[in-house]
Amino acid sequence: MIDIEAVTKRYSPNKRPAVDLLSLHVDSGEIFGFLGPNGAGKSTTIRMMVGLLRQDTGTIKVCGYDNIAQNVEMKRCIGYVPDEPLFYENMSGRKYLDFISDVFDIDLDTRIARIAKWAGRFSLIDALDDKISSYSRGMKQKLGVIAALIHDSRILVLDEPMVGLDPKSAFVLKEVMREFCNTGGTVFFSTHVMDVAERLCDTVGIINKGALIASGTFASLKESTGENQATLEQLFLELTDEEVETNDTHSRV
Amino acid sequence: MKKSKLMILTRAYSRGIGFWQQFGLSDTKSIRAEQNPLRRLRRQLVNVLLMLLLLVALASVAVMLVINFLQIERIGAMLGINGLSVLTSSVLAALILFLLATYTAGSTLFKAADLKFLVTLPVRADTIFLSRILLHYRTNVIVYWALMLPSYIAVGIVHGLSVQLIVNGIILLLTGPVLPLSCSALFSRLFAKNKSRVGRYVELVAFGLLIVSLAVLQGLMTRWARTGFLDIDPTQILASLSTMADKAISWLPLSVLQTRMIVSEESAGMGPLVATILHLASAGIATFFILRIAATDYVSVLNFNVSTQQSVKKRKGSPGKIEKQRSMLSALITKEFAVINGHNAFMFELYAEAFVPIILIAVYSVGGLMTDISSAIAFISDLTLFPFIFCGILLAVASITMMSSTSISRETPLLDIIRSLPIPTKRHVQAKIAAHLLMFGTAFVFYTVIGMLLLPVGFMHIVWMLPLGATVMIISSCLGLAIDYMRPMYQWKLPQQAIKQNVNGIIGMVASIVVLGIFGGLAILLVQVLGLSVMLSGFILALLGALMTIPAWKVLLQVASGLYENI
Ligand SMILES: Nc1ncnc2c1ncn2[C@@H]1O[C@H](COP(=O)(O)OP(=O)(O)OP(=O)(O)O)[C@@H](O)[C@H]1O
Ligand SMILES: [Mg+2]
Repeated sequence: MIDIEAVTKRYSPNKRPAVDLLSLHVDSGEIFGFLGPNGAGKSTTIRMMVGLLRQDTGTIKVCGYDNIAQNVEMKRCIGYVPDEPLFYENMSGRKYLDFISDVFDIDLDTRIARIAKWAGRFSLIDALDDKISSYSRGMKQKLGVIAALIHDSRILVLDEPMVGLDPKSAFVLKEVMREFCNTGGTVFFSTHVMDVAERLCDTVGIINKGALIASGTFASLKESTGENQATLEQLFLELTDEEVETNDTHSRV
Repeated sequence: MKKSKLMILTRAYSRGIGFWQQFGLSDTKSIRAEQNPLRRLRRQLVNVLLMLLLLVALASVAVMLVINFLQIERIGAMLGINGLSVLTSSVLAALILFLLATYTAGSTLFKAADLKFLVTLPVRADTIFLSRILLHYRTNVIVYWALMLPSYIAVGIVHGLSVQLIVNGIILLLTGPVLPLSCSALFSRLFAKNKSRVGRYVELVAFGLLIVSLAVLQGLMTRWARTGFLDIDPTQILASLSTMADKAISWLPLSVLQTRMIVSEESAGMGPLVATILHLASAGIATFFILRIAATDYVSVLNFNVSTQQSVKKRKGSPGKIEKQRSMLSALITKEFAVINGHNAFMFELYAEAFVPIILIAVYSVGGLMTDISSAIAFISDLTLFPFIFCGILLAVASITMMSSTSISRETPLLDIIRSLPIPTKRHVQAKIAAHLLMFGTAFVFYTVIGMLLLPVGFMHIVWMLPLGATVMIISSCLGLAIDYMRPMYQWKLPQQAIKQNVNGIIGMVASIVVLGIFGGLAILLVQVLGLSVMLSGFILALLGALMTIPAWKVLLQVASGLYENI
């Protein structure tokens, strides 16, 4: 479903690449958790995956569509939740969802049913007719998730979707992600919450300084590091810390 | 200690955004950082061209003002009032500065997004307030200078250059704007805590007043010029003017002091030094008290704005219904207007551009100026070209606008949402052109019909005027959009920057003027040189316009796809 092949991206020619020869494969029906410290290159990878940013080298295919040559077709099969929830603030939540539905050409009955369903599940119904400018951070985040779900895409790409959600909404979101995969969809999300990743993901990838340093199922990660009792949190700290240390010794020399 | 905090706050605002960048020009540092030498050269060239363009535009306005002030100064000499031009310009500049600044004072002083953050810092509220006043000064002072300098030049030409003119001129340029700006701060403070919609519309009112006062001023001048030159008894006019000037002098002590700073008058019994000291002292005291009042409860005003921004009106009653499915195009057009309606600055600028002429016509009619205008028009209405002149003027009103040429800049903070959706470039661009036509095309049709009712233009000409107008507007819109797609303004903190301080807007307007010029030239060629009938020429031009939309559209698509599809 998602094929990233040797992708490199530099924001400026004299800095180190934000994403460095990254290769990743996510199969359909999988939940993939994308982990990494701040500034590791998660959002950059995601922005390339959803067709907002062009990679310098390498190829990215989502649903079989190339992110550059078939940009619009590719976007059609992705539901994307950006890391920062920005909207047309003077629209109401419902107007915004209506706008998204128009763009995805969803017929009237379907969209009304879906808006009711998702807004109900995320308890946003009461606020739906208020202006988005009156929403809290978490409400905006929920609106973003609903907007990504409403067109029934095959792939969900979420950049730190849990940020700002209350415990119940976070729980619902996890449920929704699981259901989404059970019905054949694919979920790709980045997060800093290790517990969520550990319990929810079929596979995880850990990125540090633009390079993928580990990927696979949680079990296979434990095996490869030889620490069978470790939690994902411990593995993450160990894997990313190692990198830092080797770099430190480099710079000291 | 306090002073340094003030400087930090004032500077912090412009951190990360160079002086030129706020107008949409690239700053020199970013150009030097460009690796590719060819690109660097190109960007430098573009920058230089843009600056030249700006200078030419400013210079032409300045020359016009200087000529006007020269006349005023000469009339003053006839009345025995030296420095009448300075008196006029100081009143004018203060008034216009006040109105213009009121229109943005609220967003700079009380509602800017970064204030939410600043109030949490361990800085005294007065310091924040003062730093915002300095910003307010910095953004608006140029208007004052643009209006005052020409009168100094006029004085210099009439009375000769002097140390007094230069030194006091500089002092006045720097201190003159302070009082009007403080007044604008006070004025918008009065409404800053108003929960009703009044507060929001204060800016609109100020804007409306600005337009009306400009119209009245223009009307007065035209009228004055007409009576001045056509009527027979100049002594009577001089006498009436003289009493007017005397009245003005007794009403405007500060402006008189300012005038005396620049031009001495023996009968005034006051040297330039005394005038300067008196002016600085009185204006300083007034400013102090006005700012004191404007700064009362500053923190609570800021908190008020923070909290009200969160609780915008909630619609009561029936839940919003979704009535019908729209096409992607009409959804995108809705979005265009959602962006415009998202900020007062965008609304005022664009809706005013489209519909201010209606206000002008209303003001003129009330002022009895319409008859003057139509008698002036009677003179040109006999020309064969008149229908083209008529159409050209209306098109100038409708197509010289920032609507398209700041369209992408206006939505840059939200660009990621729209870019992540599966929308073909073609649709994006169509929606933007359609929004342009909806606003300015409607205005054009409206003006054309009204104009045809008022003026001796045959109604049959509407059959070519409307298609010609549509094609010219489409071409201008395409050019404006292409300009903004090539170099949208990405980092803006206040919405005014995306529209009023955006060079793209000016370039777009110039491009529209060029397009109009080309069509005007062609009209002259067809009618005057080739001797074709107006009707036939109109059709030929409309056809030509239709043909020209094709390359304009192609270029636009090419440029726009870089943002949406061809990432
Ligand atoms: N617009 C940009 N211009 C220049 N550099 C950027 C830009 N966006 C990101 N970077 C750089 O690219 C690198 C990767 O950033 P990215 O946003 O992908 O990190 P991230 O993994 O999403 O971090 P976080 O967990 O904090 O969200 C960082 O070093 C960052 O400084
Ligand atoms: Mg990120």
